[in-house]
Amino acid sequence: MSAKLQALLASRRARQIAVVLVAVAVGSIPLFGSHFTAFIFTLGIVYGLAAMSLSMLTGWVGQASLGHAAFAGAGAFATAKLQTHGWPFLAIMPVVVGAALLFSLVVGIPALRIRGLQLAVATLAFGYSAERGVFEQMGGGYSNDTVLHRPHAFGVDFLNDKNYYLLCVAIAVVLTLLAANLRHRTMGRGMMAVRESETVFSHVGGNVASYKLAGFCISAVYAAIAGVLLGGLIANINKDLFNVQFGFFILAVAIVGGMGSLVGPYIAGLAFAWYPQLFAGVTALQYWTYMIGGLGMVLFVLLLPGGLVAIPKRAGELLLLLKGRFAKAPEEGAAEDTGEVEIDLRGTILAAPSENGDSPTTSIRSLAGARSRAEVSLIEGETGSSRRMRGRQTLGSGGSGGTLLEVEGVSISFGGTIALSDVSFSVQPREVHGLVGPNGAGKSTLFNCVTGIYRPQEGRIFFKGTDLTGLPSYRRARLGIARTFQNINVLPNLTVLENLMVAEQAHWSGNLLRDALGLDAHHRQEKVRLAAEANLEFLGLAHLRDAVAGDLSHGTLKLVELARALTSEPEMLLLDEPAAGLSMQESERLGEVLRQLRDELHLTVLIVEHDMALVMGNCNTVTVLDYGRVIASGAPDDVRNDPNVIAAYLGTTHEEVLAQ
Amino acid sequence: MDFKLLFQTILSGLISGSIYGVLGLGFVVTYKATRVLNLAHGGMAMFLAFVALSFLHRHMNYGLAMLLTALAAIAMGIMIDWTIMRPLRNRPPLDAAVASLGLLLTLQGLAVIIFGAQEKVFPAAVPLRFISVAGFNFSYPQLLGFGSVAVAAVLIGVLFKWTRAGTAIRAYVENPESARGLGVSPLYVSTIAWSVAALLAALAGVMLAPLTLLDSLRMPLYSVKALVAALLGGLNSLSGALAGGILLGVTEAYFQGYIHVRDSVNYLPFGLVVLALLYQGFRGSRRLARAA
Repeated sequence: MSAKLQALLASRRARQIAVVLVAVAVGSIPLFGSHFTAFIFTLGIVYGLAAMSLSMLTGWVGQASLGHAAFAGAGAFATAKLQTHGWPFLAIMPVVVGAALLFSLVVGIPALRIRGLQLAVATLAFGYSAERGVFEQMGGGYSNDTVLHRPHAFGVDFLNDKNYYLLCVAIAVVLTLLAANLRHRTMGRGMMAVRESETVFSHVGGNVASYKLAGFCISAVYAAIAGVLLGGLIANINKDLFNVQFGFFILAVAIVGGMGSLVGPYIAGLAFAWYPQLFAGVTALQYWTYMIGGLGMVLFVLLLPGGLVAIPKRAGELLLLLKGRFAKAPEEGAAEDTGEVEIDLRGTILAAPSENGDSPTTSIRSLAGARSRAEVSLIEGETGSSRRMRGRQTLGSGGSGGTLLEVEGVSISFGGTIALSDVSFSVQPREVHGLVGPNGAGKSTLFNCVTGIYRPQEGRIFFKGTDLTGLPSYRRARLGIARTFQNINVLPNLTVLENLMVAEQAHWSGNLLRDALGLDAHHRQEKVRLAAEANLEFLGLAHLRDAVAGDLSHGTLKLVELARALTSEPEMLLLDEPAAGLSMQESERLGEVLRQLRDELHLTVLIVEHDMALVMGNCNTVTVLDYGRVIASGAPDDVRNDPNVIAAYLGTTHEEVLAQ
Repeated sequence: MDFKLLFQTILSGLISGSIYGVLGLGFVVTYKATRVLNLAHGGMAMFLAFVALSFLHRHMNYGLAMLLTALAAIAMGIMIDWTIMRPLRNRPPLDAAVASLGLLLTLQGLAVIIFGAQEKVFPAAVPLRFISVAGFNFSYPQLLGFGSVAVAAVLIGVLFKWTRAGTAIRAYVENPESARGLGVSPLYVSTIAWSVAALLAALAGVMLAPLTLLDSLRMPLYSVKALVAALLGGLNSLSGALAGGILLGVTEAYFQGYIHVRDSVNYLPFGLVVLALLYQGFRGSRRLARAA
């Protein structure tokens, strides 16, 4: 019974219905109450909308703004100003949206190009300057208020507080639904990927700067609309309504509600709107409002991370703790997976459910399973991966027959250390090309030059004849270069499937309007999902589809990275030490996968690896780096016997080798 | 052009600028060592100025009052660290920033409750007398201000460069993992950083208070100036924050004295921030090119 209840509570649909029912119940209270109740509720909704704009910015793109009050103020003052010129309300709204976009671009473009908290400081300065400058002049001191008139539209009298309340609720609901649409489509997924790892996002073809900017612009527009609604509610607006402290205030509302949540901010907004009423009429307590509010905020952050929306989760944990089952709680997700494993693995040789995804052994067994399954699918010609393969064959043959990657005289140094010096070599299509050399030889640096993390000081790199020099990482990914990282680089708080689906960026960069309105997206989302699932299947990860990436083991995550790289449908795959930490047996299996990538998926692979058996056994060509220079390049057998290579690996000089 | 007027303008800009610099310095100390965006820094300065004022109101010797204020500042820093920042150590950076916002409100509320809501006059440490050097006038408070800032800057420099605590902090900032491996406790680093930041806030507070009226609502806004100063200096550099503050102060004074456009000085923080960010972005892309 309790298990059933838990399952019911856990089901998303049930939760959504519950949220909607409660929201409708609470939301209709003002209709039966006084006009003052309606006023307070409207205030709460408007606070909630403003806070939701921040919740999206921080919870999705991972940026913070301390100056959102300025966007709200800009919306309100622009409306009031245009009203004095006789503009109708509905005609003003596009101007408000345009103004918010313009201002957010002015603030965002310089601030978002740099990683870190620059946006927080820039928006704070923006808020300060807006309050003391523009707002001061437009609606300065208390005697100089500007009046914002509520709209007269559709024959409804919005001067009636209850009608105005309904208008605000309707606008908030529409904006929230648009945001919810965005969240589960390309744009939303991309924004969360930016929050999790900018490196990963850019290496699957995502434009980090434009996604951050898009998140900031949407957020600013929402804040501006909230500002107009707040102005209409209060009617007399002045600079103190939209001062820097108000920006701090809505940030507090957003944190209390729960960052990233779309519902939480409204709950918190209503709470904050009611809060001062507790002190109303008691003059002696007036000054305590600040302090108690402040202390409450501190305690809230300390004791309830995740905000109000996290309460059910915390309560659930507490319940488990009381039942003495707390130790099992973290396995909840794994338990769900296990069920799927059993279904998924009928007749295959995958890991026992109990070991599921927890050790490198398991992951490599999964590899073996994947191989056998891939073979089966090749014969049957049924599964997604085989369909993909056929697609790739036609795609691959369209390319030029010549060199795929051409590295020409690349040099780079860090401080005084020369990492790469005049490195030249080329990679032919559909080969597995090994890049080996002692530690510190410059292999990963070379990878970073190819994928655009570093820009070489000298030399050029061509891919399919295109000069890569100066292209940002995401453009290179869109040309068909995908990579895995030496140190695992995944999006830890997203599911495995979402991690893979982010790779859609290589071919489709998302469309704000379409995603928000849900137009045409379903078909595309479905296509990406199928491709991602096919790759999970191919690498034997299908049972981990909905697992949260951060919970998985190192070995499994290496496969997830590979699957992500494949999902971006690259022509060339760069693998940085994929066998590190694997046993000899396991790396033999990895070799089989490599050959499969080349022979069945027709990919070109450039691989950095220390495991010589793997490299010599599976590569068509091997290039050896030592102290940043190419000391040998050719077929594995030639390279193996090259005296320079022997010298580099055994630590003797060339002359000594010759002398022997 | 009247050079004397220009000189006086720049001089007053230098004095307010060095206060911004001290505020920025305090902000950078905690940001660097603990990655906390401390929005309460201006509030701490305000509260500690009120503490100093209450000592002075008891007819205490100025020096003794400052000493006690310094002790109060250290106590405040340690308390903030222990009760708020330590528990939030492993949480997303924004949580600590919001907690600092709560702290700001708490300090403002406390100040009003304890010290009253009306603006207070803060007595200057030295009488407003002038000495004239080559026809240029310097006031005693200005000289004392420059002296204090210089001493504070030197002390901070010595602390970070030559003491064990400073070395530990620098090591921790550079690489938390290996510093921990070498026996540097992150808790120790955080406590030192918050105490130093509170001391710097106290210094900025008592320097700022005589120039304006002491007021629990207005002074915390100097957090904005602190952040702008810190950002002008690159957000991570102590000397940069000091220089950034001075740049902000001098530009403000110049705008107030010479640019007669209403409120133009209030657009400065944002304008300077945009310029600084554009410059950093430009330098960042060049650095990428040099890959250094």
